[in-house]
Amino acid sequence: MRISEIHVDRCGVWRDLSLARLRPGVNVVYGPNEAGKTTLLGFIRGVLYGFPSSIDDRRFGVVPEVERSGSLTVIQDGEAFEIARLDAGSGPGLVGVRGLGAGPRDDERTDAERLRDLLHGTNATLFEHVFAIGLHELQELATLEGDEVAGHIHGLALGPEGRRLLDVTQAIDGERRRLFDPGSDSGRIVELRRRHAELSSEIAALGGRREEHARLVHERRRLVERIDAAKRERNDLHRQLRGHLFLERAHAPWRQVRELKAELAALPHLAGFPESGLAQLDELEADLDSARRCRDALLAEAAEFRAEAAELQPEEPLARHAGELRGLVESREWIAGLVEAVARNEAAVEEAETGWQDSLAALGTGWDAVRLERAAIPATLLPELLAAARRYQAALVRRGRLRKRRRQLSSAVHRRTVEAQQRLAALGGDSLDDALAKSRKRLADLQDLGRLELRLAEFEQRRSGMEQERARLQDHPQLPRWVSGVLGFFGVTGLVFLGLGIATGFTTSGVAGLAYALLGFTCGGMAWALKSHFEREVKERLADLEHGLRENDERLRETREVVSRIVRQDGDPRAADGPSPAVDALLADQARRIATLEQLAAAVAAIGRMRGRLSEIRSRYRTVLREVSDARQEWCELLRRAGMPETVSIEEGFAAAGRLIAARDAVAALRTLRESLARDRTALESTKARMERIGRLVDRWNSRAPLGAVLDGWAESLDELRRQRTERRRLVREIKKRRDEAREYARRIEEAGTRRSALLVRGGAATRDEFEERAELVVRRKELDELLALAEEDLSVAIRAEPELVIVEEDLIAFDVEENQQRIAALNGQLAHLEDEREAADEQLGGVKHALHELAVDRTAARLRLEREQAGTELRRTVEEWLGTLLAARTIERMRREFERTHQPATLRAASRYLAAFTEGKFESVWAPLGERQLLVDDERGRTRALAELSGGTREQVLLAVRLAVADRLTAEGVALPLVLDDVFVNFDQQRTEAAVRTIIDFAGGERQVLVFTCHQHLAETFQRRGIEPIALPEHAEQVERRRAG
Amino acid sequence: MPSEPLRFIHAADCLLDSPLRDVGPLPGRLVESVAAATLAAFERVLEACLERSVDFLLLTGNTFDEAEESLAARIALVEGCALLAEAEIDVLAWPGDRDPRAAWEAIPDLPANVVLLPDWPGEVVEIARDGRTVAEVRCAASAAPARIAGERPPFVIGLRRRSEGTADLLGAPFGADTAGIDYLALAGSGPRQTKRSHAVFAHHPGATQGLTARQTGPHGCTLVEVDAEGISRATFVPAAAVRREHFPLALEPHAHRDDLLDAMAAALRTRRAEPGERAWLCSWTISGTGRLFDELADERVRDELLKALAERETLPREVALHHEFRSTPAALDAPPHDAQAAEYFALLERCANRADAADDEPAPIPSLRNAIPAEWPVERDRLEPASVLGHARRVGDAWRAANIEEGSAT
Repeated sequence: MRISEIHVDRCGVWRDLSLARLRPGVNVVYGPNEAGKTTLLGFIRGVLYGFPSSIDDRRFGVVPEVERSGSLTVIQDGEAFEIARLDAGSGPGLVGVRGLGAGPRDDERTDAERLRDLLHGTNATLFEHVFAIGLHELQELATLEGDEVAGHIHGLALGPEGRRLLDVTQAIDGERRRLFDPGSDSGRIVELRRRHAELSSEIAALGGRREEHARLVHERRRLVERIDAAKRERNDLHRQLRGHLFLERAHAPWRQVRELKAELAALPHLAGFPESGLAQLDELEADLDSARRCRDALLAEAAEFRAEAAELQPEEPLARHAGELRGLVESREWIAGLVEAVARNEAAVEEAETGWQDSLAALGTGWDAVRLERAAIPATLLPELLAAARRYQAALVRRGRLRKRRRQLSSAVHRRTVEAQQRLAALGGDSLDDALAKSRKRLADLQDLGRLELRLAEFEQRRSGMEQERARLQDHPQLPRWVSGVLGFFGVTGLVFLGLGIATGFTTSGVAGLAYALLGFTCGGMAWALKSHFEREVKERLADLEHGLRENDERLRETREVVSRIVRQDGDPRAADGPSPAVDALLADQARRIATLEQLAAAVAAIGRMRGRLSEIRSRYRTVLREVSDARQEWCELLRRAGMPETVSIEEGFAAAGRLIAARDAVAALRTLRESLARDRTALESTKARMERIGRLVDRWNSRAPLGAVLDGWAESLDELRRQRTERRRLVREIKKRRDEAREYARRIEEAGTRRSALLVRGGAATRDEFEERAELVVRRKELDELLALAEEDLSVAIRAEPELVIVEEDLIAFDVEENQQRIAALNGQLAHLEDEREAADEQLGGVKHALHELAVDRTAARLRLEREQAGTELRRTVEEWLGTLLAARTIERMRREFERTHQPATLRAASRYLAAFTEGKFESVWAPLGERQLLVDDERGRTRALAELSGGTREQVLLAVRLAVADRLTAEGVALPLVLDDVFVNFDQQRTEAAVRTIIDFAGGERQVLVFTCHQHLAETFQRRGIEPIALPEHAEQVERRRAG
Repeated sequence: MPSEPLRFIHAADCLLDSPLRDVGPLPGRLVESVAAATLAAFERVLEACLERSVDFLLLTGNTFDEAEESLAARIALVEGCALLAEAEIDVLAWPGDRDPRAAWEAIPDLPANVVLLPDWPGEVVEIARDGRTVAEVRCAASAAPARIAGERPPFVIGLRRRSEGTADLLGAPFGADTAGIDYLALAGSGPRQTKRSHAVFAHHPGATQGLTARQTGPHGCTLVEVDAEGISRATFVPAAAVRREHFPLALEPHAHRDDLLDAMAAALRTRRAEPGERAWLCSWTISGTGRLFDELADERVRDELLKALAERETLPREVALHHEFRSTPAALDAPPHDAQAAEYFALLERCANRADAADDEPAPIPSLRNAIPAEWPVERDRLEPASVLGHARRVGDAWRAANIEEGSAT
């Protein structure tokens, strides 16, 4: 498309401007500044794509106004169109497209559609960014980065190789960032460096430990020296203290030795004095006194015993009959038992007689001892009675239980029978089985009704479908459109040939006319045959549909009858009146009725079963009645046999039996007691007679006293007799013993007297007093010897305790105790003070040693250094990995450069050619890195530069070259639009302006239209020199007014 | 030449309390052993001195690292020397680069049996026994004095330090400076090495404890015994408690797990534990390609492999083993079918095999080190080019695999 004429009705500064005769190729429109060139550019864009909003107006220099209008005359494929647009104030404005040529007028497209076709579907953005370029657009790189434009520049696809290179580049970049991202200073290497630095800091923090250790070693040495000095001083003080203590210890024994020796020297020496002589004398005299006292006492005792023995003489008759008396006394318990048994038996006989009389009275009248002894009371009476009573009791219990169950069951049968009869009466005369059968049949019919209604709906749906199909076949053409067309063609052709044949036959040749006529018949025949062939199938289908409809209607009618019959059956009152009830409701009613009838049938069956059980219980009841009668008869017979009165009461029977047995036992016990009493009385009388005889012999009988008391008196007499005899024998033995001992003591007294005399002679004394004086002298001398030895021993021990100390007697003589103790106290004070100091130093030394030990065993530094080495090792290996990725990245980069060099998009290759033309070879190529939307430029030396690194003019030349290349590409794709350049060469130097003019002219060639708007005369002249006459813009109204005013 | 019989222990590079290097994460049970490895080795050296009743202990350089400022090292040294002092064993210490003379002199309470050997020619330290000089120690640069005929000469120990980076520890050939020297004690870090030339017996005992991953195998000190004829005999005395081992293994592309297990067990069987060793730090560098190689990147696979390996181990039970894996993809035998991947690998291998590169090619690996920022605490000379190349190959492998997957998907 190219523009042949521009007519501005009203737009910006322009009113009624017409630029006619715009040619293909380059058109230069010249006008000074503010001549309205940019407004004109905006007008072209506005007419083609709609007037922009006010913001865009300012970009194009168009002052917003109420109305903008005008038209462009464009030539498209040799046809002229007028595009007129009126700005309505909002939106793109009203557009009209009118063909100016002699073409068909029946184009049904709207003006907007026709305009879109003229513009090849391009939009305003693409036009602004590529075809309508001012200096502003040219300098804006962003205008090339829109998706549509960028797609033309960079190519839409990279191809598999390019994508792989991009993928691996991204993968390597990701890996490198994982290891080290310099932008964010992160990654594994940074972490390891940080860890390494932390460990180094921790190690550095431990750096002063050697100095600390040295200080502690020095402190340890100082403390050891201090402690050693304290020890030396302590030793000196100890030595002094020992000297004073030695004097203190040695002085007392030394003085004692001196005094004892003096006393010893004053005592006489008594040699031969018996050893412990005084003690021996005391002992001998004590023995002598003791022996004398013992002898006298023994003799006195013997005399006393003799007198006692004389008083103990026994009674004669008692001694003679002591044996018989002892026999009776020893039978004392038996006799007492006999007396007691007689008394007890007498009381028992009396009590038994009383009890027997009571038993007879309890048996009733007519009973006496004779009858009681004659009565046959078996030993097993009670067990037999017990067994009979149990049987009788059990029979009674069973009878009672069965009687209760019989009554309950009978009542339940009666009640249920009445209920069932009432419900059966509601069936209206039908039996239960008949009613149940009817209900089940009704239920089956209703289930069939559901299926029939479904079938009814299906038949109706099928009928509807058939009618629609029939209507479609009847309404619509029977043949496809193309078949009708073919048939029409054959028919028309046949008629044409027939007419042609007739004409030819009459005018030219009969044979030829016949041939044409035959050909026409053939075509007509074929058309008729084809039509018949296709229409027969449709007719057959219609016949089938009619037949199907009839069959369907018949089955529909039959089904409706069946449904009607089921719904309106007898016995359903709802069916007889209103509309047909829902099948589901009928089904539910019938199901409920069947369930009720089944429950009634089950109740009737249960009543039958209960009646059977009642009959069985009645039979068992009769059996139990017979068992009760038998048991009662057996019970009465047993009572009668025992002679007891008959009774059906079990309690009474058992009471009578108990009384009978008690009476019988009482008679037997009374008889036994009487026999025992007689035996005891005989034995007692015999014993009493014997006792009386002997008692009178020994003069110890009292007929009024009880036998027991007599026997006790006899026992005491016998005991007294035995005691007297024993005591007399003992006294005789004691008298003999005392006499023997008295003789022994007399011998000892004589012997002790002899020894005492000898002792006094040995002691050089005649009397005891003299002997005692001499003995005291000997003892004192011995005491002094012992004290002296002890004192000398103490002195020796004291001297031996301090072998290093030498003592001089003069010191001991001059020794002052008080002064010495004061000195000792002073020394002890000094020692205590010294000891405190030493302990404090020891404590400090312990602390220092502990600190040294802690430092020595602390392995923190070694562990940290190892950790730092480990971190360093890991860091080194990670750096190796990072270098590996760096090597890989550089290798891929090299491959990528080569790929980019050989695989640039066609647009950029074309742009490179334009750029080389613009710059006369100084810049050879413009290219885009793989996968990126940035442009780089290589200069003649192969150096690559980004656009930002280029000068403003060169940068504009690059961008213009790229736009020309894009326009080339669009033209190749069929998008041919005029290129409008609004003073885009202003930053080009003269040389490059010349080159640009050449290039633009070459770009336009003979076909493409380029409108160059410029305010620079030299540029207009440059084009003019190349044969392109500039078009001068006329003055607009404002210029005229300004010119007139100024 | 008849001489007084003599016996001494020669140790070097004790580096007391210095941490082991090239160590990755360790299990908790090994941390303390590894952290105290150099101290434990020094204790064993002291025990050897006491058990062998040596005349003196000769320490030639780097007994500790002054830069570490380790208190534990100082205490261990002072207490160790005091222990030897009780047994009347002298300690002859020759300061090295890391333990300069000033550092020795700054140690408080250094026992009197410690003698610092001179650094300058002319000064001689004499070792006396029963009033007679049985040995003397001097710098190798100073010539020994002429011996008087008929006099029983002392055993002369010379000291020589070699410069760092020299491949041969023994350094300069024996010349005039070694004349009259019976035993040339060498100092400077490096492996254990011995050389006899004419009458000179030159020896470096190696470090008492292997610190770096490259110091593999047994480490300890040397017992030097000089008989009455003046003939020296050196016996290795193991001292290291932690042993470093490195096993490079090449994995075939289709190797099975059992093959790798066999290879690892066989590699372990080639090593024999020395007395006193308590832990081995084994570093496995596995190069290759293939499925098994890729699976080894999974820690669980490695753990299972080590469990299976533990069942085959023949080492004493008291030796704790710790394994560390490093895998390096090998160069491809044939270029891949994918043209882009083939170009990538070709460029990579060209880069690996060149010291420099053209403008349009990636920089060679050594020059990549310049990309490391100066503030990073990384020793650049310890970076392994093979590892760098391996990582780059790994990127290529992943790319190639993704391309194959994409190709098969389409």
